Formats: sequence, C-alpha cells, structure tokens
Amino acid sequence: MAICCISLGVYAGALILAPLLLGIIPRVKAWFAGRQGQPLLQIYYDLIKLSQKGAVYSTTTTWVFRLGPMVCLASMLTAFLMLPMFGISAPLQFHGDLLLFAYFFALIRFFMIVAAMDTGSSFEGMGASREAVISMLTEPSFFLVLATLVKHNNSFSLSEIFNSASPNWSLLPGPVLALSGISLLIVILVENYRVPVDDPTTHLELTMIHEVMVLDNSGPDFGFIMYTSCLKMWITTSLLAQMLIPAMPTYPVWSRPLAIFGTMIGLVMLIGVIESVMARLRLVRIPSLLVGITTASLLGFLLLK
Amino acid sequence: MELFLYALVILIAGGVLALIFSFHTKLACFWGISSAFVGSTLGVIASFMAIFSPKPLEYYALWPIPYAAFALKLDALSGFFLLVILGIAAITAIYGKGYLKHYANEYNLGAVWFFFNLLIAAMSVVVVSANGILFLAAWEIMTLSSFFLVTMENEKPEVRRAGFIYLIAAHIGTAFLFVMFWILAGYTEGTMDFSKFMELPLTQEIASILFVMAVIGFGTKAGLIPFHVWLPEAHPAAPSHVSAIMSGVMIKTGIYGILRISTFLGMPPLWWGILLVAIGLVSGLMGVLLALAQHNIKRFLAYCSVENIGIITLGLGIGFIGITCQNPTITALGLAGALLHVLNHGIFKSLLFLGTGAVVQETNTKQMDSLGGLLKKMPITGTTFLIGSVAICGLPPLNGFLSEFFIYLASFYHIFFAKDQAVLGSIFGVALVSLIGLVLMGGLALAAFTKSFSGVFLGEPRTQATQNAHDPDWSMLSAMIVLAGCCLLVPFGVLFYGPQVFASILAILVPSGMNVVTDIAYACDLIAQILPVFGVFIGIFFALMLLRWMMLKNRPVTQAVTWDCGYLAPTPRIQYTTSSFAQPITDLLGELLHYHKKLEPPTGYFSAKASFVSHAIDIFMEIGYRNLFQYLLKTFRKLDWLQHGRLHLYLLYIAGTLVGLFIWFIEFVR
Repeated sequence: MAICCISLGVYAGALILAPLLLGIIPRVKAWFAGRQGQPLLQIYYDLIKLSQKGAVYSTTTTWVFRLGPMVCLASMLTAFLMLPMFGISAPLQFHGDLLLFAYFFALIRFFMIVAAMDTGSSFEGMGASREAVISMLTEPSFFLVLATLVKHNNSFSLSEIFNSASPNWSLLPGPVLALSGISLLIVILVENYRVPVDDPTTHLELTMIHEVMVLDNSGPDFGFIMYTSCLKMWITTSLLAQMLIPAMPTYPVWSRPLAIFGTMIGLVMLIGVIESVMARLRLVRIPSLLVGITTASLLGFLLLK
Repeated sequence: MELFLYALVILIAGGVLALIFSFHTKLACFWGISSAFVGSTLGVIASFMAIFSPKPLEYYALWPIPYAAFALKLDALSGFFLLVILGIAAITAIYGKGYLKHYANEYNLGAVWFFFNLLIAAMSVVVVSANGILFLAAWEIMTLSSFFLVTMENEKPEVRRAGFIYLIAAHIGTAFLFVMFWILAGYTEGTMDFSKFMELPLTQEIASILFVMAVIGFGTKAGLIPFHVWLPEAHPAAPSHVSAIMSGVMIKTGIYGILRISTFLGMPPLWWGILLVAIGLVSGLMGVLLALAQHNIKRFLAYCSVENIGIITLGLGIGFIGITCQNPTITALGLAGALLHVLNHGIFKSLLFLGTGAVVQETNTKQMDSLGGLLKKMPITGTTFLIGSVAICGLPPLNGFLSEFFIYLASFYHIFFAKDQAVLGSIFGVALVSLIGLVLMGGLALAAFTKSFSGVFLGEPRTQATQNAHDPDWSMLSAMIVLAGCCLLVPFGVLFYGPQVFASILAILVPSGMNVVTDIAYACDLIAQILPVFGVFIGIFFALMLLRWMMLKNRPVTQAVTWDCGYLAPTPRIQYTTSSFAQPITDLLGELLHYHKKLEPPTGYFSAKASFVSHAIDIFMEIGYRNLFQYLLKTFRKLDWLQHGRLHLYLLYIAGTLVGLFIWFIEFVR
C-alpha cells in the first residue's frame, strides 16, 4: 500500500514538474546571451492561458486535425506510465514493454504528420515531410540503444532494466556507455526538436520542423501539444538519466532519485548550452548526423560482450 | 470435411450458374454473390472445425491419372490459411456486389463471377489438397482464373500488358514447382500423396535444392523480391475487389506452400533460415522504398504487399533458425509472428484495396497527386482507410502491432541466444540485421502511409476529379467497416484462441522432438499484458476528449482559412503533394530507387511554361528482367527457321517426336 502511494505521488509529481524542464532551457540561453529572459515558470503560464482560450479551426481541416493532439497526448501519457521513474517500477510493465514504449512514439509521429497534412498548407506539409524522414533515420539508433540495454541486462522490460542492482558505477561498461549515451543524447535532441536538428525559435516557417507542423493549432489543442512536448522532454531525459545512474545497493535509497533528478536538470541545461553555442545544421547535413549516431550506437552494441 | 466439400460444390455450382445466366446480368450476379458468400461462410465454419479438432479431417478419392488422387487433408495449418482465404473472400464478395454494378453494361458479369468463384474454390483446394497433382492442378486454376479477372477490362492495352506479365511470371514460378514435385515423386512408389512425402530418404543436397526451388516457385506467387515484378503491374489493372483478394490472400498461398514443403524436407540447415531472412529483408526494404516513390495508389499498395510479404518471410526465417538451433522460444515467436502477420495483412491490405477501389470508382483516377480532401466527401471510406493505415504501420492499439511485436521479440531472443553460444556469430549478425531492418521498415512504412492517406483524403482537392465523389453504397461500405472492425478485434481473438491454434499449427511445422507449447503460451500471455496497456491508452484518450469538450464548451470556436503567412490567394495547387512529401527520402536513397526526374525550369522574365516529372523505376523489372528476356529473345531467334508456318511440316515434327519417344521407350525404359 505504501509503495502504491509513493509511486502515485512520484508519477503525479512528475506530471506537475514536467513543464519545468522546458522552462530551464530558455533561462540558460538567456544567461549565455546576457539577457533578462523569460520566467522559469513561463511554460506553466502558457499552458494555463491556452487552456482558458477558445479555438480557431481552418475550414480545410477535418476531424483528423482535431484528433491529432488528443492521440498524441494520450500516447505520451501511456508511454509515461510505462517508464520507471526514480527507481520506482512503472505501473504498466511486462516482457517487451520497451517495444510498445517505442511504438507509442511512432503513433505520435503518425498523427502529428496527418494532422499537419490536414491543413493543406505547404508550410505544414514541408514540416511533416521532414519529420517523416528525420524520424525514420532516428529510430534505428533509438532501438539499438534499447537493444544494447536488453543485451546487457537480459531483460525486455524497462522497469527491470533500469532497476536491476548494479555493482558498478554505471549500467553499461564505459566505452559502450559513452557510445550509447551520446547516441541517446542526440536522439533526445531530435525527439524534442532542438538544435542542431530543429530550432523552435527560428523566425521563418521554412526552416522549422516541429513548430511549423503545429502552426494552425490553437487553444486547448495547442495546450495538449505543448504538454506533450513537456512530457516528451521529461521521458527522454529521464531515460538517459536512469541509464547514467544505476541502482547501487551500497548507497542509501534516497540518493538515486536525487541523482537522477539532478542529472535530468543537468541534461536540459546541457541542451540550453548546446543551443547557445551552435547553430542549427543545414537540412542536408542532418542525415549524416543521424546515420553517424546509428553507427555509434551499433558500435556500442557490438562492443558489449 | 463434408462441410468443406459442400462449400466447394456451392462455390463452383454458383459460378457455373452465373456463367449460364450471363445473358441476364441481375440473375448472374445474384447466383455469383450468394454462392460466393454462402460457400465461403460454410468453408469458414469447416476451417474452424479443422483448427480446433484434435485430428486432421481427411477425404480420399481415387483419380484415374498416374500419381494423382483426390486427396484432401484439413489440418490446423491448412485450416488457418483456409480461414484467412474464405473469410476475406466472403467479405470481398459482398463488396463486389456494389463495385461491379458500375460495369454492368460494359462487361459480362456472369463470367466475372464465374472466375471469382473459381478463384476462391481453387485457392481453398490449394491449401487443403494432400496430393501433388491435385495441388498443381488447383494452383494452375488459381493462376488462370485470377488472370481472367485481372484482364477484365481487356480493351485497355495496359491491362493486357499487365495480364501477360502476370501470366508469364506465374508460369515461370509454376515450372519450378513442377520440377520440385517430380523430384519428390521420384522417391515414392508412383504416387504424389503428401502422406508419402513425409520422411523421405533425402540427402542434404537434394533437400536444399528442393527448398530453393520451393522458395523461387512459391516466392513468385508470394511476390518476394526479385520475383515480385507481376504485383505492381497486375494490381492496378485488376478490379479492386480482385486486387483485395489477390493481395490480401492469394499471395499467402505462396507462404503456405513454403511452409508445407518444409515439412517434407526434414531438419532445416542454418542457411535456409538465413536465406529466408535475407530475402525477407530485401523484399521488405525495397518494397517499402518503391512504394514510397509511387504516384499510382494501386501500385503503391502492390509494393506495400511486397514489403509485408517480406516481413512474413523474415518471421519464417527467424523461426527456421530457431528450429535449427533447437530453441523453442525463437521458433514459437518467429513462426507465430509470421502466421499472425498472414492473418493481419490479409485483413488490412484487403481493407486498403477496397477503400482504394471506392476512391478510384468515384474519381476515375489512380493518381494520388490528382486527389485530396476526400475525407469530407467520403467520410466512412476515409475513416476505414485511416484505420487500415495505422494497422499496417504496426502501430498500437491495432492488430498490426502484435505480429510485428512477436517478430521483434524473436530477433531480441536471438541476441540472447547468440550471447550464450559465442560460436554462432552468424546468428548474432542475422538477429542484428533483422532488428535494424524491421525498424527501418517501420519508419519507412509510416512515411509511406502518412503520405498516401494525407495525399488522398486530407487537405484541399487538387483537381476537379473529386468534385462528385461520395461514399459508395452500403454493400461496399459494410465490407470496409467489417474489415476495420477486424483490425480492432483480432488481438482479442489471439488472446482467447492463440495458445491452442498456434500450438496445433506449430506442432505440424516443427520436428517432433521439440516442444513449443509453453513458449506459445508465453507469447500469448504477453498479449494478455499488452491489451490492458491498449485499454489504458484508449481510456486516457476518451478522458482527454471529454476534457477538451469541457474546455471548449462555453468558449468561441471559430472557422478561418489555414494560416497563409500573409499570402493572399492560396490555391490547392500550392499544397504539398505526395511526391513532394516523399522527396527527401527519394532524394536520400535515389540511387537505390533509380528515381528519375525531368525538370523544365521556367525561362525568361515572363515565362509561362514549366514542367516537372518524376518517376521511380523498378530496377528488377526494367534492368534485370528486360535484359534477360531480350537476351533470351535474341538467342531463340536463331531457332526461327523451325517455325515457318507450313502445317504439313509441323505434323511431321509431331510424328518425329512420337517415333523418337517410342525408340527411347523400347531401348531404355523397358
């Protein structure tokens, strides 16, 4: 019973804290640029405001456009419930849950793309087309990192993989961890539409991917999409953080959740730093980057005994 | 068994009646549809009985032809394929009622229904026959009746061309099967009964030759690359309910053939499984890439069938490797995944072809770039097409996910297995490559189906073609709705009946020493754990729907034009087309596809004319087969002098051949 309450509390807390991560990035970028910057809680204000607004729909769109944001948020929440959090096993877990977890991300893509295409705008079509090719190239790397974890832990369940006791300082041997970790970091950047693959703050629709796909969404629908992005950032960073911080029986119980949360904050700050120091890659360069991390994760997988 | 024979009789009799009454279209259609539906439904019941009966149902009658017998055997494997064939056939027959109405004045529908019923009957005999001659006869009838259906609109030159390509490809495949069966018959005492083929004293080499012949012969029917060239030609030419039958179920008889023959050949060596995996991967990846580059929606679906047959073959290959390595878990997951994908693909591919048929009939075009915005005009067709697209991409919460999940899991288990036994490096490689291949196929399929669905059904209409489109009549709609419902219900069927059904099928396929029952139970138990997750997802979705409704209830919800970035006169022509959607991928992998582009850019200051044409070439067809056949033509031209058109000399050839055979018989045989 107590465990149930704790896990309920942790998951509810994570749902509330998720938008915070996306608020940290602009703060880091503002600090780098020496600007005042937006408040840390800006995403919360945005979400509240959006939830209080009406909506404008294009006359071209059909119910597919209205369905999109709901399907995306529902899939993200289901994936969220399949993810172990701070050392607590996920409410939904079984043998092979990591495949279903990855496939919910694909479901989001499907509906983001068709919802964008529903508007008939060439801008949104452009974003959708880029999203399709970029996600196609990212998936092998993501699966290879998962396969590396599966191979090392002899388990198909995210909860078992991340909560198995580890005698060492890391879940994977050093070189493998480096290769898989860097691959997963790039996957996080791609999945969350960050620099160097996509730039959410660019001023021209022509150069955006994710932001241009949601140009026509407004009101609660846009709120759903925004919250989906927050959850996505939370889920992906927590995946990498749990990979970096294994469960070590020799340390006190409270140390791991704290270390994981700290790592997650560190990761979003790192993303902010990356966005401050480098520009978005040219579109034709992106496939090279993605094939590169696929190769890196493949090498990591092969290095693992 | 009697029930199955009744079903056959009803199918054939109804077909003949339709042919006899072909002067009266309504009566002919009545006989054709009702017999196809009743016969198939009876057959479905028979197949259920076969699947769940502990002993196979058998029927044996003599047939006064050497080596032949009218031997039928309905075991679990046959029953499973029979269920897929007749279940889909019954549904497409109903669709055919509405679909063919538009052709009533132009074509002899009696003949169409005759061949349709004959095709269904022949396919069911193919999977049930237990004699080589009967099998080949049914196989040939299946090929010919589908040929006549493909060439229904034979006044069009492209349809005739497609028909001939199909006929030739199918017969090249059948030639391999003939030779294969005769080699097998050489080991028995003058019979081709399948029961005599069991446990033949085959050497490893002979068994391997037979296996390769089976893969080529059956692979041609199944549409495996490089034998797939007939699919993208035949499907656009055929009427849509026939495409649905051919792509949904007929190509699966090839998979059945490979499985059935493999039961004769004993323990598979490792390279058989690796061969299947390799062919499956090439078919899957090339199939989906070529699909992505198509502009014609039926060609697109045909290439997509190549992809899915590739996934099925991949699963089979992994299962075979499991058999070789004596690992029941890999075997169970691989084979069960492949079999489940046979059922799933049958459902969603026929659904997609039926939806496409409705679209093509309403708009008179197969070009995706001429369509658009049809979801508003054909809401039910569009919705079922969306369900089919989500299912075929293998996305949760529909049936396609489950079969791909099994195959994924099988390749993950391979990784474990190879880890335990360090010597088997090749297995490790196979597992890794199939894992990456499956992921890439998934990503490309997602791009391909978002492309085609949004090109046809979303956005604004691109041309006038969609002006008068509306949902078709109830018979076509009900077929699509039933199939879409199946996409949702199959997971439950697997949950309840999977352990028993897969266990009895796999008992036929795996060597007797191997026990896969517990592993099948494990696999189906996973489904019992996946379904609650689907339930949670659907629950959250409805909760969000309620939340959104409550938020928008008292707020202004207005309509406006799509955000046009200050551009004042947006036209439907500035929309992204399906070709432009696919362009990043076709550019990236252009060399592999031979993607040709022809651009005439606008010139001068007041230019008016510009054009852009893109076209994907199937290298297997345009380079491989074209050159091969041209070479053959050139070679055989040298024999032209034999064919001079003088009849009396031709008769002399016959006499000469007879004399030659007589001398051979006297001298060498007796």
